[in-house]
Amino acid sequence: MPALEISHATLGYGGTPILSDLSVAIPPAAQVAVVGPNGAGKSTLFKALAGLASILEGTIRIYGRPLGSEEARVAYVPQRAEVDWQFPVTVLDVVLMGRYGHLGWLRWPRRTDREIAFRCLERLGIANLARHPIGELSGGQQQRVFLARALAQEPDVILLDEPFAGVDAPTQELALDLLSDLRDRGIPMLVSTHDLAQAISRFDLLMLLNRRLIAFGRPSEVVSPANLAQTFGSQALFYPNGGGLLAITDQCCPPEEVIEARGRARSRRVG
Amino acid sequence: MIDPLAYLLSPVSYEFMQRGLAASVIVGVVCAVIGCFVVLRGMAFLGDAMAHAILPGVAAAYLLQGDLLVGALVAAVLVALSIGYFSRDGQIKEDTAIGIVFAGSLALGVALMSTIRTYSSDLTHVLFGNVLGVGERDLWVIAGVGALVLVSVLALYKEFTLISFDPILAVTLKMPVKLLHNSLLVLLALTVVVSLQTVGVGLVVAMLITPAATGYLLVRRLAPMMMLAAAIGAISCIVGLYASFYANIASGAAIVLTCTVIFVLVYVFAPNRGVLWGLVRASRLAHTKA
Repeated sequence: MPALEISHATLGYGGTPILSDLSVAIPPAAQVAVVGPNGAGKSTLFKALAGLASILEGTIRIYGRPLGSEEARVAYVPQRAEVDWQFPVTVLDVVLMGRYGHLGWLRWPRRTDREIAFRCLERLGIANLARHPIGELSGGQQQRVFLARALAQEPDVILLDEPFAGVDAPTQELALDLLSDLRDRGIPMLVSTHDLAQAISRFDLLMLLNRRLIAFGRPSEVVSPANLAQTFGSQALFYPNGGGLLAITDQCCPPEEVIEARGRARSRRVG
Repeated sequence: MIDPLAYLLSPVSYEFMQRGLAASVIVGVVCAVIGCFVVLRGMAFLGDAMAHAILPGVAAAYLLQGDLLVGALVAAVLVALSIGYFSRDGQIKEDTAIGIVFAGSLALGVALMSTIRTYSSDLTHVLFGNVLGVGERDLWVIAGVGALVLVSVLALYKEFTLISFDPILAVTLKMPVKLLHNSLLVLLALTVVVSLQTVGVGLVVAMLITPAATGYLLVRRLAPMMMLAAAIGAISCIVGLYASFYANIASGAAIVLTCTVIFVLVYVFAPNRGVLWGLVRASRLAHTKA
């Protein structure tokens, strides 16, 4: 049974579709890079899986259980810009929030929840920072706190929204190492990225999106001039390069989706 | 030479001072605790609006000879709901909706009150509080509602923290985010209503945000921030009431001025984050470089 099965799903906000007729089946333990230009619907896909965008048509199932049911657990690692880093919480507080789904009303985190949280922090090499306020950490450390929290949720699927945007190269490398380290946990992972080269070299599966599914499969099967042209359209340049093809895509700057999403998060908070 | 003990004790020998102190300390603590969420969620304007918007409720209850607190509470809930209604589909921004509802209901309150003969002194009491007029029954209501708010915050602490820090995670964990947000608004309304008699609707926003903001400058975790804010709120009320007794100034204003002074002192002198600390660090850095 696939870990995540999306069939004929049309996703969007309110009644407006952003991503249409998406069908993919993702096996357990797969690491999938979701690639597409700004506005392609990467964030919409992730937000729909997290329950923040609407499924207008079709179905999404996690190990056969419909998305939204109590047993379908999804962990969403937000973009760094979506987090209020000045909020008065420590690293351990944040990771323990991942356990709230297992606690229910009127329950405080138990000793086992603390142990799980510490194990997740150790796994990411930041157990020594447990008592530090999140605002004091470096970008890479902050990234790892939210990865630890995702693990503490004991989810069926982990979603990482643009984890490499705005972090330096060593941190990116570290995050990629961590992803491959997490593979043996058997948790499938979806990572949205702008970086085509990274997606091709470091991920098992590639999902090319541009308002619809362009292609899905192993990088060697999926990467073709036709698919890339459909994915990036005029946002990429192609040059013949020896026997192959050189593709230049835009990797700069957080996409507009970030700003949109931030606006939404804020209006949800007060509205 | 005045005996310092007599100085401290003589105001408390009056029963109205005892009740006033008890009422304002409860309000100081409850406002500070709920105020931490107000500060962290950026709802200061909403809190202020809610406070002013209870005026028509109080006036209507007075004219109909009903219970003032009930009138105030009904008005506060109506205001919270109507702000949500006007800004629901983003056609009008929320702060604009707050401004419209806030000013409109304040005007309605003033209009209603202007029909009362003792208009100006009644309006002053509602706007700026009348802590020394707290009766036996008022004190029980303040204590009861205050306890209800504190117990609710304790019971829903992790949920309120999560919807304030990371509403996205709250949704993925399938928490009823909307319901929790509305519960927080109702608790805020209750708090504002019981603050009516101590600091009045004009100044309650200070009791909500100033102690909480002071706590935020001093510690970096929510629970200690809340406890510190509560302590600052309570101390401000006590100091303010004594100042009001001896200097013969309006009690609500004295309380708010006390916590404003504490905030300014902390802003300047706070370890690590204070202005002074920053200057010291900068000069040390300049020294080591030189």
